[in-house]
Amino acid sequence: MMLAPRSDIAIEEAERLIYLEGELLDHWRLDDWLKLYTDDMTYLVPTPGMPMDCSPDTSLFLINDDRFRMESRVKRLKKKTAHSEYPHSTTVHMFSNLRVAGQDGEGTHVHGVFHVSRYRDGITDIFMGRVRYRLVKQGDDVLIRYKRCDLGVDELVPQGRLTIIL
Amino acid sequence: MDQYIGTPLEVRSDKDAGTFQVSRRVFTEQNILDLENEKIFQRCWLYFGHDSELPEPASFLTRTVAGRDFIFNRDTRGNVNVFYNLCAHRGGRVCREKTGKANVFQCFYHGWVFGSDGGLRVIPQEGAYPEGYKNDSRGLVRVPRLEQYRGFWFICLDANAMSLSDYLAGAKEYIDNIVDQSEIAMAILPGGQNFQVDANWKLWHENGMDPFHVHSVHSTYFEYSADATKVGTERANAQGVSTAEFDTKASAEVMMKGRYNALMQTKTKFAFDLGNGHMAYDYPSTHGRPFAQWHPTWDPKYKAELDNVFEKTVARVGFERAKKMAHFDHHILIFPNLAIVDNHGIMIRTYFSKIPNEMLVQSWTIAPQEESTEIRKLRLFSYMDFLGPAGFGTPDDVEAIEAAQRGYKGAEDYGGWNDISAGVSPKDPMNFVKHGDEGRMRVFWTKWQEYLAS
Repeated sequence: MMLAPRSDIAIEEAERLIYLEGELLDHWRLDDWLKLYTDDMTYLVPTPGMPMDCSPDTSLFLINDDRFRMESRVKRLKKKTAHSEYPHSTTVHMFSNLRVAGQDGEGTHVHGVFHVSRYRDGITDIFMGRVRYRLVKQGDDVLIRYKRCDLGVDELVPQGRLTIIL
Repeated sequence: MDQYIGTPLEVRSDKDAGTFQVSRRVFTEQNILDLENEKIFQRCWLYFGHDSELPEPASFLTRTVAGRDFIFNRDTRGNVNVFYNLCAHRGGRVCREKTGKANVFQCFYHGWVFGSDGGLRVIPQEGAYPEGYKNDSRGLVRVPRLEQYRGFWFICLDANAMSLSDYLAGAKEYIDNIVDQSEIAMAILPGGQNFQVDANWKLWHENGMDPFHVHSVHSTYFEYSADATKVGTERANAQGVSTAEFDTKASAEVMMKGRYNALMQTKTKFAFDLGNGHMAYDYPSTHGRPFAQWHPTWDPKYKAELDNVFEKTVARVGFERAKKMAHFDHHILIFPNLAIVDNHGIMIRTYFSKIPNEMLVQSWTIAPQEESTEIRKLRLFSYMDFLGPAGFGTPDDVEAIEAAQRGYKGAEDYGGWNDISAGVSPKDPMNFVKHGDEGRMRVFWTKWQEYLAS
């Protein structure tokens, strides 16, 4: 693999977008956060302990959202009756080791790692793992078409549940 | 009080006053958990795993059940075994992998080797022992009892326990209705989910039976479901697909007139005491079911195939039973700690507490082996509408029981009792079950106290 594959989207543009995503999520600006995604978006979180190449078509996942279910997730998270996130957690999203891994018909592939801390009601949980994005240009914007977070743990112990967006 | 069950007093009831109460100590005290381990988990049949998880000879997996580490394998002759995961020599952990294939297991501590049938094969220092010392009495230790019902393997730590078949009692009919969704056999799908919940194990079992939490805890799910039904109905109607029988304004009762009337007449919802502390309840589904019920929330392209599966099921098991299997959601709670939920997919879940205020949940999903690629994909997508640690339902259940567990701190100060009284009536036994009251939970608690007191 080439160290610096050709891509229409420079790593600096990808980083700006991904850091903005982390900031919007940390501020619970979820409607603004949704604007970073295309209409044909996919957001995936496989079951912990599964291989990096497992597919939501054949394996059980924690999250496999299309645009409708992602918007529904946001709508839900904004309600007081989303009990598991009311009051909201405090989160810190960190993305690092980002690099352009290639480009194909699906977009520009950006790979990296994430480390998301979640504090709520006296308990701090860590979600860490590998992140893979596919980014596309739409007009002047760079948008996220695909985001997949593979957690680096075998089970959600002690985290228990994943009610924040990674 | 007309009824004190057991000593110490943990469950109390009074029919004339219409009360049934459970002491909050049962969720917080280590001595109660110790008693449960001795009197329930060492005597009851416990779900271990499914036949499909051991696809071929030499397949194995390791799993912790009732706080014990086990190896679950199919030996090279095809027999299924459950061994304690420890070496006969000095107790080293014989297998440290989660899953794989192995003809032999070698303890890395001193090198003893065991066959897949548990027999002792090699002692590296055999010359240091008398002749004949290496024999199968020093093999892997088998769990005292291992039996299966239609592919579901259970263990029991009590060698003198009743048979699994007798133990499951009325739950067998419900397991049949899961297994017969396949023409061949059901298979556990990859991606079993383990997670911790900061609450006592009984709180989730109880939550699974609880009729009254649904609308307050899961309102956001119902709102999502209504949105998805509206969008899907427009999509279907635009394609000329009728959704009249799923009219979004229709209550379950209206749906019944269209789809279920012949089967269930005036009744729409059911709950049953299945014996031995097990219970189940059923109600007409108001969403798509991966087994043979299309719904407007799903793309019309799936409808023909799901209808076809339904017709094939009618031919196989008859019309009435096919309707019950395909058009109703089912919740099956098997004593002490197994839940099978058949709604947006099938979820199988167990829970154990090592300390009173925590549990480890192990959950799996299962599907007909012969299911098409498209319906499998739909099934896995649908599961997350409600189920799992990031679904739109399960996390709120977890929040509710964790919040309750926190609330029990200090219960000893005021002698707190949980109230499970709805539906208690002087004319009925305490574990009389109706769909819409808390008798569903009294089935569990009555049996729980019986075990603890015996």
